[in-house]
Amino acid sequence: MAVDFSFLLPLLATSFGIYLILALSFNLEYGYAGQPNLGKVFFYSVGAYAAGAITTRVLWALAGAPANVAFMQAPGAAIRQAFARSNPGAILGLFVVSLLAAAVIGAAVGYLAAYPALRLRGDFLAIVLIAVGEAGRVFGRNYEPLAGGVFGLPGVPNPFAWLPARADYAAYAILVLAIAAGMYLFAVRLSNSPFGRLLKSVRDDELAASVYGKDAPRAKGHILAIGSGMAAVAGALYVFYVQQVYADDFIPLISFAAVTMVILGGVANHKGTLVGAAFMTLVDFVTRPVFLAILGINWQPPFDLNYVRYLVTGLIIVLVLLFRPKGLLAEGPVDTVAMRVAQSWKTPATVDEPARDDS
Amino acid sequence: MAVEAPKVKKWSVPLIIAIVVILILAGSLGWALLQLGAPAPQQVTYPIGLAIATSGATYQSDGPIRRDAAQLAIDQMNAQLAAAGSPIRFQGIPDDTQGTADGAKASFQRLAAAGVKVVVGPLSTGEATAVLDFINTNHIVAISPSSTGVTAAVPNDFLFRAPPTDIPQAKALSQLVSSLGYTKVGIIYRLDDYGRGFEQLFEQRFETVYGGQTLNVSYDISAQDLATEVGQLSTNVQTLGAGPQTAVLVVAFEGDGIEIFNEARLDTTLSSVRWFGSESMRRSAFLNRTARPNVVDFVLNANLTGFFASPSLNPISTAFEQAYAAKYPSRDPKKSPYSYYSYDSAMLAMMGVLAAGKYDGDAVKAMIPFVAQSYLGASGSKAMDANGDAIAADYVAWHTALDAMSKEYFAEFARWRFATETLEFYP
Repeated sequence: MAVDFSFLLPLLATSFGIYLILALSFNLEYGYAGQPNLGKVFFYSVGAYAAGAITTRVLWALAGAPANVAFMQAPGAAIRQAFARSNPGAILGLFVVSLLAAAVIGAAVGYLAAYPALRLRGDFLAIVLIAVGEAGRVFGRNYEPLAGGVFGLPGVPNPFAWLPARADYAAYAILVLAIAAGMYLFAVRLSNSPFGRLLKSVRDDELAASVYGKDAPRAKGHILAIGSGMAAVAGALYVFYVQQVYADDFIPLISFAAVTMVILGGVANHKGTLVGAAFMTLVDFVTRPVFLAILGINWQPPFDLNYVRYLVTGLIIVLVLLFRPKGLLAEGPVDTVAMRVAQSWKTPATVDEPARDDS
Repeated sequence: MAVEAPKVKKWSVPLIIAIVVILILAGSLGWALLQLGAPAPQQVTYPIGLAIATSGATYQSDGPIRRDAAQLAIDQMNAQLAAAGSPIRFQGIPDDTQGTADGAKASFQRLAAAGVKVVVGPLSTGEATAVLDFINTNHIVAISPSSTGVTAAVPNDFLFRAPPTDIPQAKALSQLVSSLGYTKVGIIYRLDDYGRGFEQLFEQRFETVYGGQTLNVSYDISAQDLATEVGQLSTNVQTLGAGPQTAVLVVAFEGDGIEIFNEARLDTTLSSVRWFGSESMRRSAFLNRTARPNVVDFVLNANLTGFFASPSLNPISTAFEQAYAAKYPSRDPKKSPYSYYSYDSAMLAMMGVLAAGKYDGDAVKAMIPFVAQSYLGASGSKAMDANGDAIAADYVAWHTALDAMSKEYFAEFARWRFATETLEFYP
């Protein structure tokens, strides 16, 4: 069976891009600042709800809001899709506005969520944030006016819906990759900046950082706002890909997928996160029966192949934690101009492990 | 002495002609023999995607049963095609959608990447609406075996649905509840698109048409302990006034249903009223005395009553159950009422391809309503309406009872006529 790359590559690229942003945001919060934000899916869902609610309602108004068609049902969604197809400017503009709105709302909610982070640490903070994520999901499922509750809110068009079939998904995948690349560069610059070094100092010894006059609670609040804003952007990108908001999508598994990518790739190493996200995206694909079908293998195993994915994922994590506890790519020194100059002065024979910058 | 050179023998013309004739005959004979032993025309295999959730809170127990039912249909069709000497075969490609919109979308993209044009799935309405635009723009036919929500009813799309929408079942059940003299109903439902959708339809119909009164409580589908929700249901029933005019409606699946019954049997209020259930409640697990004697006693005492879109003991259903049991001895298709629809969905998908004569989304889409028109399956008639959803046939009412051998079963006692919307009790 031949593989149709025009379907496969956009799928893998979009999935990789969205998860990369999510994992990068977790890496900034946990890897650099030591804040285990296991409620990541909540901020992801905030972005998805914001983008979905804004886009569908504005499009509905622009399309004339037909009174005899149900806004939240498939016929209403079809009207929004048709409008987007014939109005490229409108949907592209809405996409940009939604993305920005998601980032701002996500960051604001993240800053609010930082309050428990000021009082709690480690496992307790993680548990509280998991609970926040679940509370958000339950709220989304029950509050139908926002995004249809358990029915979901369909009809969030692909920003490139006006392109021919298949080209729309390919164009969107490229856009997601471009945004993910931008987020990656942002994360790298942020973590190598003085603020990034401050985060590391808070992570390694909050008391010591405070003694040096650093405002640790403020730093934690800022990084949770930044990370949550990034997660919300990932959620907004997700909703334009799936083309509907569906409360049941925002399950804790999404948070743990981001955690897995970071642990696998290497905590506090953005290159590692990149590797982790790519690796997990591929593992997710190659452990599915459809992969065998693409290879031309018509084999029905005596067990459910779909469950192998979970086993393989678990096994990989266990193996990595056993043999490479710091991940595939361990944390490196900060990359600043001063550090580069200092390293260039040393001869190879005298290069030492750079001292950790705790400024 | 001169030596005479040996004479070269000349070939006579008749000899040459004879050799040519012999060669032609031998060649012809060899060619004919080769033809006799030639392989059959090259086999063509058409993939049928099985985008069916087999993990996640909602479908981890139901999903595998439904997927296997679809695979059974594919195996049966292949056996029949082989017996008929047809070069056509079908290959089921399962892909777990995880019961989420995201998972369903990704699943359809993966299947499309593998060249799949016809898919059985997805299961829920939320998943179905998520893939709607993708399948319409890429001309991929999807036949959902269990999406019943009215939110996905759209004309002229590439989504077909083997079960009817929830509307006729809600009409039938509200009419039955009212005709049995109940005016107040406490409802407990699973908070997903199926549970919430059916609860809304029933409540609206029961209150506006029959002047009834309802109080409802929902529960999270991933919750393991439903004591609080069942306690709230009990309070609601007391508020309505537990008595001969008050009943309970439960909209659940298997695991959550068992949990609800287990909690309700300890509650004196809930044990004193009659219980009704959605079609998803006709499950053999609730009558398994060996495994759960307390639950069986409770549903018998509560006289659990509901509807189903096809009668039990129809010969096609029975044949399906037997074939399923033979192929998957460790699984029971009756544990998932929608396994019957999965079987029929796969049959419709394959018959659509065969009728179209080519593996093409547009052609198959055009043929499926035609094929469905005259198809009677394990879940009854599959004739479709303008939205590509099965037209509701008559519904059969069942209740829990004991047979002559004191064995628990779902006894059928009435029929709801879809055409006339009338209820007929069996004599």
